[in-house]
Amino acid sequence: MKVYLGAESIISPSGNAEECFEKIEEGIAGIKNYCDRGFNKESFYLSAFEHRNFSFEQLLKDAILQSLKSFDEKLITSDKTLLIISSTKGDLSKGYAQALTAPASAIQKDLRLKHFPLIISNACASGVMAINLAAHLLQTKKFEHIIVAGIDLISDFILYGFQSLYALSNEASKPFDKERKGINLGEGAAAVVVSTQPSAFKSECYRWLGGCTAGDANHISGPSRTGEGLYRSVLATLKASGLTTGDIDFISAHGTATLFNDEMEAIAMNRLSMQHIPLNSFKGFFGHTLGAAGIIETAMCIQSMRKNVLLKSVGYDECGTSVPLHIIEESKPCNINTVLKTASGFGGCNASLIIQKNS
Amino acid sequence: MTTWCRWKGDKVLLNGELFFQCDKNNSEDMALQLYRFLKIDYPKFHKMDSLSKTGFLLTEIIKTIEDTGRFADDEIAMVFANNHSCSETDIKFEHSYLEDKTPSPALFVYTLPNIVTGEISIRNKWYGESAVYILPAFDAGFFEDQKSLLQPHTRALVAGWLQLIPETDAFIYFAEKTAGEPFSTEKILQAYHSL
Repeated sequence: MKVYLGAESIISPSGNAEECFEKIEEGIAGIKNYCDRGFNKESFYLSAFEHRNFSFEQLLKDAILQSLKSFDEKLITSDKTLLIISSTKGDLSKGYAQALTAPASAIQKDLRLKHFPLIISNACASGVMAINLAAHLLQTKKFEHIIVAGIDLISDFILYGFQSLYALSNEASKPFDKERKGINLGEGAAAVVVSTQPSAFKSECYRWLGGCTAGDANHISGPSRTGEGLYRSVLATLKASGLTTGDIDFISAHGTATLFNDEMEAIAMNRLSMQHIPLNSFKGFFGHTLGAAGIIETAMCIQSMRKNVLLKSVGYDECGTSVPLHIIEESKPCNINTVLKTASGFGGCNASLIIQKNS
Repeated sequence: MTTWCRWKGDKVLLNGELFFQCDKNNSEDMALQLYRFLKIDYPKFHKMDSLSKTGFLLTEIIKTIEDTGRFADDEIAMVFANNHSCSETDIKFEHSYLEDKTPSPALFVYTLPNIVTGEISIRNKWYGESAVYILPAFDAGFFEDQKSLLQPHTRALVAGWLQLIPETDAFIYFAEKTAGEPFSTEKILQAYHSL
């Protein structure tokens, strides 16, 4: 069964999907320095909403409704439609135990969904896993359309946590660069629709070809030094897609800009002999949006395919990994037919997916 | 489904038989009593949070019956769910910065519900697929559906429900794609309601 995806939407501090695309292309920064946000009032660079005058639920709902503008929106209340929510921490204002289920319940009522949304919370791999889950669920024929929404907001909890791990940079982050110092946290929401019916999309849709997950079996908060899980995940995704590395035109990497993550990815890509394929990290622009990252970045992959432009890896100047990668230094036109998206997260989980133009 | 394990309150059943009961006169908590009962020597256990300890111990109990070593290192998948994510550890981490005035990295790394799959994969050197979901309540149908969502190379599955609030209410099963009784919603419900 063929699976299609499209109708991508993003709501980020830098704007919607089209606005973000243009800003990256034009080299306009997505992150800013925020004074006093650290535990001891340190400054950190973040991609944060200036005025958070909306609730978690409102942001989630807006991302979904914006996505549905490019889809047959009356299908939202169908028995064959499911919503999958990808988030690491959910809405902490609802209390820790209900932070994920409370907004899911509210959005079900608000949008009159037939099914309770399925929530995946698998660290920073959640978004990519959620899209793969949607595709696998469609293949069981239980559903025909799945809206996949990712969302995470910056909170003291998250900020102090990453700060305690010394994982944050107090400068604009530089994924894969020699001078990279760590993560810039980001926030936002994004959605895509995954469906078995290409005719239900109002704009061009793309094929989801395959996606797999693999574990590092190495460390709960540090990536494998050999890139084992990522290597295995990409190999399995290529196999499931019926493709070889030569078929991939562009890789949207995880690229958090920590020393260990980016090094791990470079090693995995070299083990896969994919180091020559144009690659970027969107986190130099959006920051690390955790559970939303996989959806935001897949949405940007779709945007790149729509516009046939390889977007630059924001923050990158000089190779900073022990083995080389083909980092996109300047945005440039390119016919992008097939894209590999990867993600890795705490718990040693790694996920990847491949999407292709539907022609 | 070939083996299942149910932990509710102070009792643990293995395939329906009483496997362990907490000694109320022992000052050690039930997880530590169970760890000693299983005669495991794995120092990393002691730094785990309660969610990871629960998943870890139940998987160890499954392994007293199932020879998981007969599978290749990427053939066993893990799928866990609960209704409250890792809220116990979230509250402890919040306490570390609000009350103790020092955000604790050792607690923060456990404030993701999928860390339990990481701990089990490290223990067993399992490189297979894994996923963690948050559901409003135990849902046998959800677990039945998992069999059709597994990747082609996956041959076996360790899956279950890891609820800790208000008390431990956990259920883990081991299933193979091509062996054992076919697992249905009914079988899962029957096992879950055995305690």
